Amino acid sequence: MSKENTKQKSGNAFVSALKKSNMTAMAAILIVMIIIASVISPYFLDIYNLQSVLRDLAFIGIIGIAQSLLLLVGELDLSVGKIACLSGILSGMLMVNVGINPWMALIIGLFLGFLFGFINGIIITRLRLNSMVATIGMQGVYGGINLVITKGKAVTGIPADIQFLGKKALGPIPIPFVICIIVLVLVLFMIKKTKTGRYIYAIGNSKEAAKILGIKVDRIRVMIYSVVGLLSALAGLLYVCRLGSAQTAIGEDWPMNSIAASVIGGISLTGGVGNPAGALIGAAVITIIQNIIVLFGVNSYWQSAVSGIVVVLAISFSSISNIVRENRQKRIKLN
Amino acid sequence: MKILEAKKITKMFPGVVALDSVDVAFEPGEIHAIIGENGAGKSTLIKCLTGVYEPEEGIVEIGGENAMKNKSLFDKIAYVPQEIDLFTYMSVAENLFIPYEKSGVKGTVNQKELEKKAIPILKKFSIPVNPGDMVGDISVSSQQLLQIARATVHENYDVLMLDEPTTSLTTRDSKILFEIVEKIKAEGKAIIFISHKLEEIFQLADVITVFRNGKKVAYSNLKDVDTNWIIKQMTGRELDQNEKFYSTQVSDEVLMEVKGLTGERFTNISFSLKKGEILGFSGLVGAGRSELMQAIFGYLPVYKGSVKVDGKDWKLGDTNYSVKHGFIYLPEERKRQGILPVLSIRENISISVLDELKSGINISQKKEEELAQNVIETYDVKTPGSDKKIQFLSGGNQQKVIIGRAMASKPKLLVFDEPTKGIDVGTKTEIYRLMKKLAEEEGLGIIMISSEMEEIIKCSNRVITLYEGKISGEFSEHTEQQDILGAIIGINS
Amino acid sequence: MKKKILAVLLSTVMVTVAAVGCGTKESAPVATAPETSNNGGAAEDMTFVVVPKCVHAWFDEVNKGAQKEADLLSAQLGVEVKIDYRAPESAEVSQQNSTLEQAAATNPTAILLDPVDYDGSADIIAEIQERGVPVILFDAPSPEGSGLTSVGNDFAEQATIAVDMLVEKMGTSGKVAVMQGAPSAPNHAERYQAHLDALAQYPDIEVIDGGIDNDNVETAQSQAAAVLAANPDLTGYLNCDACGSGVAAAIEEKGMQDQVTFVAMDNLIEILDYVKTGTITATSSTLPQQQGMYAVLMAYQAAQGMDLPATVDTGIGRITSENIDEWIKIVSAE
Repeated sequence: MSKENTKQKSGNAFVSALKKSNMTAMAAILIVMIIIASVISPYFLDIYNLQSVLRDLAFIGIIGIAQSLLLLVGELDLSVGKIACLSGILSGMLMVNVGINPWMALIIGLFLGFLFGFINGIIITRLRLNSMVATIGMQGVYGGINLVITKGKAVTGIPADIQFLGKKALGPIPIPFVICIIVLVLVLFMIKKTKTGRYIYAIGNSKEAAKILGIKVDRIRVMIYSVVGLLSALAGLLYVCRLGSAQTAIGEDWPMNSIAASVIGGISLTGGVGNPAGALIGAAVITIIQNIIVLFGVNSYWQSAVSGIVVVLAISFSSISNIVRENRQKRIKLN
Repeated sequence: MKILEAKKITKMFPGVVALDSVDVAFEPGEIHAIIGENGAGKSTLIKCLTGVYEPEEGIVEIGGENAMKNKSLFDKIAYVPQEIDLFTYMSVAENLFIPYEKSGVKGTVNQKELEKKAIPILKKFSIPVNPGDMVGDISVSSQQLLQIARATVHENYDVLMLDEPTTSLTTRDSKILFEIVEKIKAEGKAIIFISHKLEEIFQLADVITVFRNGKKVAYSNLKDVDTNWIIKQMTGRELDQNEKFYSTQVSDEVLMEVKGLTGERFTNISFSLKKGEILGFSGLVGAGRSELMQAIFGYLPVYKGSVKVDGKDWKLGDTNYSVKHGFIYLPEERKRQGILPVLSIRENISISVLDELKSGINISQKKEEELAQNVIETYDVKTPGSDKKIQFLSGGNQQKVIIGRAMASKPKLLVFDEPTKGIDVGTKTEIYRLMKKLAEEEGLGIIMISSEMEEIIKCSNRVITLYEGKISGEFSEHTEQQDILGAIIGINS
Repeated sequence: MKKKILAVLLSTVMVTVAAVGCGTKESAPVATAPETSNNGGAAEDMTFVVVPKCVHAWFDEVNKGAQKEADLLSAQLGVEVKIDYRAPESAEVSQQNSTLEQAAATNPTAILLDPVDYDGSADIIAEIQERGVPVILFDAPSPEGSGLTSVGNDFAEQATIAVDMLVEKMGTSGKVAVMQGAPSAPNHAERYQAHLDALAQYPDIEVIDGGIDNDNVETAQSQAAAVLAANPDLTGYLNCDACGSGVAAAIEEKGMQDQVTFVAMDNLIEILDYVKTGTITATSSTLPQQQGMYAVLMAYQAAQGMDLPATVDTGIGRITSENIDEWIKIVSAE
């Protein structure tokens, strides 16, 4: 009798493993959301609407994937939005005010983002600071530099020949989303297939153990901060291309949205657990909720409350199903 | 009269039967020892007896009543966990009484009154601290005793369950603890004593139950049995108590030469290690042994002094350099510093040799799996597969994985820091044999830090003792235990 | 000398009254001449402290206007008139209060204030006034019973003008979406309500919820995109804050520039660029430089002990394709 029980359980092991993974659960919820949305609103599957959702999703997605790398080592960066914005502004000024080749300016902008991230990393590792507090401080610094050089004014007149990066589509798929997917593939390759990726998970499991294993913990942490800076700049620059102007308030919601997207996608806040692909799924959940709320015509005063409720429901899904299962088992046994 | 009784309890986890139809009963005024190898089912039994787990079959009765139906009965079991789980930043008195309802403190919490109530309890347990002291500031021994005191604070407990209570205690404090346990026994409480230390069991307990592979295999009065009987019941085979494990192939070549090393917790340390030698480091908890080794390894800073390996100057302060050049440190704090808990066994093993597993820039999954299987077989790791997360293995099996990982990178110098902490007798012997084999066959230099005198004497070619950060003695093999003990507590022989 | 001062005073007051167009004209400008000018040519220097809500480009414009007026006064009065611009880091009442206290401690001629939350600062303002330092408000209505003079514009009027400009282009029938700004910002809320009120006069215009952007350009864009997707027959769009470039970008992405008449708010350069290309039909602007100028003027008069009007309205600038080049020049000028 007892043996039979065991067998039955191991037979379902695969299913239960899938159930346990937040990422797959979230992907299922995402699909359900898409189905509901397309049944209720005839406009959801409208090609224009899908394109604009994918375009929005690309930005939270890129930042979320970047943020997930830091979450994997148990840290986070709240300055991603300001880095994105400042890189965009500086790059825009190089194009417009200095007049250098826009492609060159984009590359410089990416490099600047990398540099800002590198500075974050050096400060946090050398001075042994808490990443959250340190990056709250640094976002003030980057935001402040932004204000000093722009006085809050946008940089307009971004050359038309690079605006397609934000505005156009490759076939039906908006270019920012294509870039987001390329970023995801590269990050997944690094995280799953290379030595560095393994080291990232090891550091997230235990920084002390990683150091005792001879892993250059601080060097890898600095590298991740730099990559996060680079990806933030990438998202910021794409947004500049999308708007055709470098604005000073870009990225305000990005730090929180990127963390939310990662956590919704099953990445642990304490490090060591999760898959960056989850961040993209989380980003999709957030973006689609915001889209269908408007499509369904929810009163605009209610929007933030409704989207909040949906997010909480979505992340509760997997734990609720666990609770239900436990209760059912209990009832069976007591009878 | 039985106060606590488990009747035919069976507990299953996916793929494993952790407890298989176990009957066990505990009587008031009796000290009942429970012993078994890691993974034998002791922890699961404890969790069933304290109401943390619900067994699939069978019932737990407390005072003759079915506790499955009345969960509040579990309040009568006072459980003291193995690891210290006190609130470090709260006072001794607060820790003692929290949560306040259970300990008879009603309404508002009055700090003065709490401290007043704490005094007699601290006296009873001979804990040399003030009720207002911060728990983080008192010694580990005191914390351990405080934890036991806390379990007995709520008045209506009938059973006191002690899970490896002496792991962090000095010999003197263990003695104090045993006196207290005897006192509690005299009060007519039932005491459950879980320990790997056979010596203590013989000293303290009245009866013993032995577990193996989820089954209860033996029960006896302690005065009717001896050490060999217990080990045989636990492991299912005879172990030679007099087996020695020091290396018989010590080379004349010096592997490591340490000169005048000074760091935060140690001063002016000089010693040398030969190839193929097992060098034991003995001393009290806090004598600076781990700090010394971690400093040589590069994990902690060195203020002064030099280290040579193979006659060449050794770079200090860089763990990456050490590992690359064949120096591996196996930490005492296995959970925090050794394992990568939520990664699989395979990933835990491969992490130190990823360069060798690469094909192109990619890590070859095939090679990785081969390596993992190899380690699992060579070191006899008991696991359903290499995909299992390492945190779900027992302590002994985790240690085997870590040794396998270390050996995969082909080191020439290994430091074992308390290699058998929390590991059962049978597995301990396996680890000793492994060390001996590594030293003899691979010519490794091995340093073993241990607080267990028996294991130091059994395994070491030489023993160096530390006292308050300084070397207080050096002994060759066959030295009498007494002499080493003297050096440990700072008495010059 | 004395005559010259009087002339300046008279002319400035007349300008003010002309700008206001209405308001209280009961002031008696000639009543008290500045006593200080009695001691020969050595008139006292003056310092006006400008305390905005926070660091922001819009307030930099106010400061510019204030500076212009101060230069004018310096030249004409022959004393040094200084503007001391002290912007709190963020728009918080406690920060602003401490800025106010520090400013008052320097014994300035007067303080010009854009209150974050008037009620939260009322006590400190009263205290400062008791010490003989006049306080003039700008960019805010004069709180009832405060007796303070305020220089600003009427946000409801700005919204009504926007509806006028919309109807002018779109006609009196169609489907119009109105996007909210940050509902907790009083001027955004005021504009939103005024939009709805003004549109209510046109029975053939269907008004729909145009989303909410919480003063964030990205949100404005994604919200507008969804609204446009759900309403392919939309003919008009209005918004309430300075995030119109987000809405415009969404309209361009869907290629609905010709179908949707979009009237935005504010004169930020990125918004003006869209007016230039035609995606934004028209926008309107508050006139921060004018607010700065008249606030200094009022402060100067108050320091001379003169009665002041309760409100000075600096008006709204309409920006359309006709005057867009001029506006771009003004706004880009540093």
